[in-house]
Amino acid sequence: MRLYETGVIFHPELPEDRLKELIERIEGEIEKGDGKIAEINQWGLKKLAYRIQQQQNGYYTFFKYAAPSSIVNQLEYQLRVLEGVLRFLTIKLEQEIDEQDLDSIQKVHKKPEAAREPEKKEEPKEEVKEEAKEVTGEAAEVEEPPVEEPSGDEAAREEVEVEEPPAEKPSGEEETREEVKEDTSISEEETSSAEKTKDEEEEPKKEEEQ
Amino acid sequence: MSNGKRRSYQRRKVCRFCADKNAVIDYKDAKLLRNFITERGKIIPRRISGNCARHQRRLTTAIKRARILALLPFTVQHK
Repeated sequence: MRLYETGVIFHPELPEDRLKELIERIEGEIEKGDGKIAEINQWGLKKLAYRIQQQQNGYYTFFKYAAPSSIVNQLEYQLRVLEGVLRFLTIKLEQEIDEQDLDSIQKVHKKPEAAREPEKKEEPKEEVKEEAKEVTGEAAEVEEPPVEEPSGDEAAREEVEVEEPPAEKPSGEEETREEVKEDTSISEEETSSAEKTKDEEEEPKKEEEQ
Repeated sequence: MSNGKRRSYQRRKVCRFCADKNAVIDYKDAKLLRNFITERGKIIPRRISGNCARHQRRLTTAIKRARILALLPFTVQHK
């Protein structure tokens, strides 16, 4: 048994009952092939990044299930044939899952409202923190001159600064990287502008941290 | 060599996913993946983003999967 996840985009103008029927049909198809459904996650209507079959929106649903590998072909064949399916994608999450895990699988049905990406918002946290530290360090330096006397605080700060350079050093590597960058200066403009926007996104967070 | 000089304009980039162990690369998380594509929808190379090889690989597959499910654009439309 393997753990799979199939994402399906349904036609946005399907009537409610037809949609339900389709979802049940897919469930049935999985169970018929000895599969065990772990989770059905309905995102609901969402704007597509590009048009599919002239549609701007799509109804997203994700099925997570453990099943023998033969099921995927069957299911995908069905999905191709069914009307009202704009797009689908099956992904293998785990190659092998044990009997124990299998028993613990319980069907969860997440409805659109509750399932609206509630998890994880702390991805860039660590990086931002580091930057904040640097910034505060610099700010402290600016403040310092009038004080003159090297206090214990300052010594601590200096230690921090001494720690930094080795992390940034790997000079040979850096140098070659620089060269490569210069060679591909054509694409540079584009990408660096993208980076800029990224930096801009990070900026406000930094301020929050302070 | 001129390490001190370089520091003033270039910071050492760290792989975001190595720095934060909690960050998972998931093809459904379009918001996260959007940080790693350009406005035109191209994947930002490792030398710019600073990702390590392993995470860049995973990121690439995640972005490609997200594209198939129309969570991310293959390219930006002309108007």
